[in-house]
Amino acid sequence: MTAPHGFRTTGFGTSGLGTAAAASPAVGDPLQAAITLRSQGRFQEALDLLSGLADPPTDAYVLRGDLLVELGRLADAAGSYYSATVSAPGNLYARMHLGSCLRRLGRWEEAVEPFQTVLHADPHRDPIRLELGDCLLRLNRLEPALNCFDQCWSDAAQRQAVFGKGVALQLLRRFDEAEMAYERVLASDGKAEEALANLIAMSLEVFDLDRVLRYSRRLVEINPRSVPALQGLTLVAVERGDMQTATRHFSTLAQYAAESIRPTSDSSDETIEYRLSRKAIDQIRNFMRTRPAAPAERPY
Amino acid sequence: MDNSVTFDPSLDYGATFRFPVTWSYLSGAPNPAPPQAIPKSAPRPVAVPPPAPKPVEPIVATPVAVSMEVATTKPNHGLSNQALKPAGPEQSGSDAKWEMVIPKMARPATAVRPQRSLEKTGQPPPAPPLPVTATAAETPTEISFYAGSESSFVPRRWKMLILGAAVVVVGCVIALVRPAGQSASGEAAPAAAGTWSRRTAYVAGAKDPREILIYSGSEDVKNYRIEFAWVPDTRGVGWLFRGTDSANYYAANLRLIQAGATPSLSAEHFAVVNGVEGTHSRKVITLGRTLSQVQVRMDANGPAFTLYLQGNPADYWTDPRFETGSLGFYAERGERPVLQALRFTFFRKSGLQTVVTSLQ
Repeated sequence: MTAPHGFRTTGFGTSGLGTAAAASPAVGDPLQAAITLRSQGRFQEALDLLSGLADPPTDAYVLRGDLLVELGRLADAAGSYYSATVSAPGNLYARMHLGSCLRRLGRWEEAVEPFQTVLHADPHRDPIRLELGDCLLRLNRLEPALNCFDQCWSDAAQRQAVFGKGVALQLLRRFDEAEMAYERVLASDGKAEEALANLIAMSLEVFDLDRVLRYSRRLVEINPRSVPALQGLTLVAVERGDMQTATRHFSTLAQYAAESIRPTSDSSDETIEYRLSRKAIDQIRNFMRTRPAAPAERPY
Repeated sequence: MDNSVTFDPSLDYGATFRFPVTWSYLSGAPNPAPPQAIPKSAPRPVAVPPPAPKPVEPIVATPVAVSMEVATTKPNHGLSNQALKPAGPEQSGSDAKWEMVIPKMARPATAVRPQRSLEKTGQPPPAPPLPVTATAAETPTEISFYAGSESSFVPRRWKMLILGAAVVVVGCVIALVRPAGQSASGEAAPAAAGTWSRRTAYVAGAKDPREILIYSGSEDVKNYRIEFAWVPDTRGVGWLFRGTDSANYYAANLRLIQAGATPSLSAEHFAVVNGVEGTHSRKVITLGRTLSQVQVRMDANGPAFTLYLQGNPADYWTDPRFETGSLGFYAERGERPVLQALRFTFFRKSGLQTVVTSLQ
């Protein structure tokens, strides 16, 4: 395993224990003192204490990584965990947290290897499998991601695993199966807004307006200010010539989320987009001038 | 009428609705904030006409589809903006037999044991009452398993070697104790019981999920026999077969519908296909006398299924939709059936295999 690019793999100084050590509970054992400080929530002091170790053991690297995570310094934490894996390749804890840090840093490709190593040693770690699945989805490795979510076995991970499968299936354009997966998620978590938002996107991709409408209604019931739901309701109304309803929902969008519907020149390859032309906006505006929208005139 | 209709100036040139596929749900929060949600405070200062108390004459809606530009730009193989460049779309040609990798609920003995090497110091482990932060919440610290350093790794290898040797010895003993020629002769030979995996199955439209118990090792068998003794009760017993996943399987059940001197049972069978439960085929069977236990047997022979009660054929049906698949039991509302003398006989090409097991 090579060091992730840009990581400092040591991070320990040789400047002695310093003032933090003087105030620490156990000066004679900096590692233990750092553990105690950590248990008291004194992360920075614990980190300072560890920096005094001249020849730190693996556990010091691991503890340092944990402290850096607590302090939100993920890149440094990844470097520390990586150092731990170099000195103790069998340390699955360090490897797992290395993967988690890399994933949270958006370094999906580098995160895959530590996750796979941990799962190879212990295939029953569903939380890690979910993280690995997330990385694989982001890397567009959809079949491996699907397999990854398939292998989740515990009840605790089932809902997220099924959701992940839904995403993978949707990206594989296996829409029927994806819809079923999302419905399973919704059966157990009726407020899974993201499942409904993805269903709206999927329905729009095949331009099934009935489905867009159905899922948008469900989503707007959960969250009346959901942008995907309001977008879905607006576009269905526009497509069906119901400018009154379109105006109502579009005005809400324009009022509260104008930045999310602002036209952009760079069209993303990775998002389904529906563009309302200037003419359509003018029509909505004209409709508002002539007939201001009244709420709840239509069921959607 | 209101003439002060002004949107955000950027919307003068049109609007773009974006529908990204997202999966922040995976990060653990049961109901994470949706990828796009309008903040409930600080609305944008745009002038929107107030709702009119009295709507004016309805205007005939003019279809404006002509003025719309639908840009389903690309199939969304990649997703978020942070996603790296895809290695190329991997279109799947295979069916997602997603539940058929039946996990074993029992953890293998060779799994790495959680081991905190920091405890070597002899001091109590660090207390975890750390301030809850978003960072800590995202970090899966609950799966903390320090594997220890190299020094502690070496003895574990010895332990694994000893464990492996013990398994080999036990295997040899079993092979020696087993009557010779039994397996070679093709007769039914009791095999070690497999493992059960418990899963939750969701049926479209059903209020509650269904708990299913799948017997591992039965997924590729076409022909088999299920036998068990059941004490008739109104809760009944349900079993499933030809299960390819928790949304596709056949199921049957027996239930006591009338007790007494001549008790009556209902025998039902149905299929769940793609999570949708099909019509139940129901048959009422009257027993000649009260029985403390009913011997139930079902033979699956290709697409044909025969149900026997007390050794007599009670029902027969065919269904060719699923050719193979696992068998197991299911329970509604968590009421796990109580069975005795559960026995599976698998008719494999290599011969018969009989498994005597229990619902554990």
